[in-house]
Amino acid sequence: MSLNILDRYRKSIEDCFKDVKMIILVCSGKGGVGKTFISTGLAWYISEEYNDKTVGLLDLDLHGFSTHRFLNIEVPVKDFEEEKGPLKIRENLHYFSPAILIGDNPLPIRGHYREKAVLDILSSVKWNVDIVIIDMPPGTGEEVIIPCRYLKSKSYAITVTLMEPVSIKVTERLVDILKDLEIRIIGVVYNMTNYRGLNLFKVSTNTLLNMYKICEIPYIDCVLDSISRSRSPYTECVEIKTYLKPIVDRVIVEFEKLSKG
Amino acid sequence: MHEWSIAYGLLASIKDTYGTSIRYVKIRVGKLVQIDIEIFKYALDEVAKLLGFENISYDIEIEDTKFRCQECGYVWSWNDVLKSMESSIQDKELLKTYLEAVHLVPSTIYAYTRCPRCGSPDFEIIEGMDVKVVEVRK
Repeated sequence: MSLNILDRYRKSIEDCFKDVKMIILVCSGKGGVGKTFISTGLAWYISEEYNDKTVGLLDLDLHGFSTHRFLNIEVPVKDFEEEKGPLKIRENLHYFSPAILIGDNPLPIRGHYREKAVLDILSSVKWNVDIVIIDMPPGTGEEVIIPCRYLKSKSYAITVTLMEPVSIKVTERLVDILKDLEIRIIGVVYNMTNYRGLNLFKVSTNTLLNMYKICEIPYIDCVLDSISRSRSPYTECVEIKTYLKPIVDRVIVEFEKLSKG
Repeated sequence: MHEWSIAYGLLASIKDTYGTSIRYVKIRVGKLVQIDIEIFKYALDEVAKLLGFENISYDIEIEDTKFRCQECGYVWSWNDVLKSMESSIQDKELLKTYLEAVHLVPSTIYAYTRCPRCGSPDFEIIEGMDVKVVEVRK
């Protein structure tokens, strides 16, 4: 009998996410646009503001994992045990990142090994939460395609871009691909809009992305300052919450629609 | 236990593809995955009952893991990696965490090993990386 069609991951992945109602892929076309800041902040503020909701944060940026820096978690976590599930940052905020296991060792994987790593992470970590937010690497590689393949019915996307023509163009391509993958797009966030004169493009930008726009977020000085002092910016910079609120609200609206069936 | 998740994934995929009339399955397990074979066998038995398989039997083959450097062609094995990790990582708790990482996500071996001859991180895992079904019979 042909064994090529056997997929040992599908049922395990479905099982790991069976309690999850909503998965949010935080994506971008290009790197350095602030996905990690936004995905981690979303998880942080939803879990802080909504005690009745449990949130998971999964870092799938296999080459550039850095959510632990935003949460100020020391890695590796020596007593991590897979059977206990993700780390509990607070009662309703659960967390998993490759950094928990490998610390800050570089992980130079590509191709088949990268695909396997995504499959193994998705099929090993069981999430008992309402919403899982996934921090993605830039682009549309394995980390984006594989969750879409296995978890499409629960998946939504938020894309992040700078307000400049190069990033916007690549993000438009990303949105096209996400639509082809039948992923519902919650919206687009324009980040660091006051940075190095990028706001000059604000007026002249006439883009298809505008129909998806959730909000604009300026460059916030204290974010990197907090991280450089080994602090979480979400506990130190009070203004972040205000800037992320439109995204939090949009996610909650979509979540409530789901709950109402 | 990761063994349970793998057992469930394997048998559920067999059930979906061939139904529950399968009587024999041969499974090949790469050493890299560091599966506890006794737990895995027990998990297979329990999951098989849960999924409605009757009278199913297994053979489990252990396959050594081999690595080949893409730069210089050198080939080495999982035992070489294990010895190297045990001698270079003095903190036993840290070593346990790193081995747990490879157990859960075998690709993370790329974080811990380099070619023993030239030091390159550009290598292939030529065999023994995964757990896979190599034969099923009705």
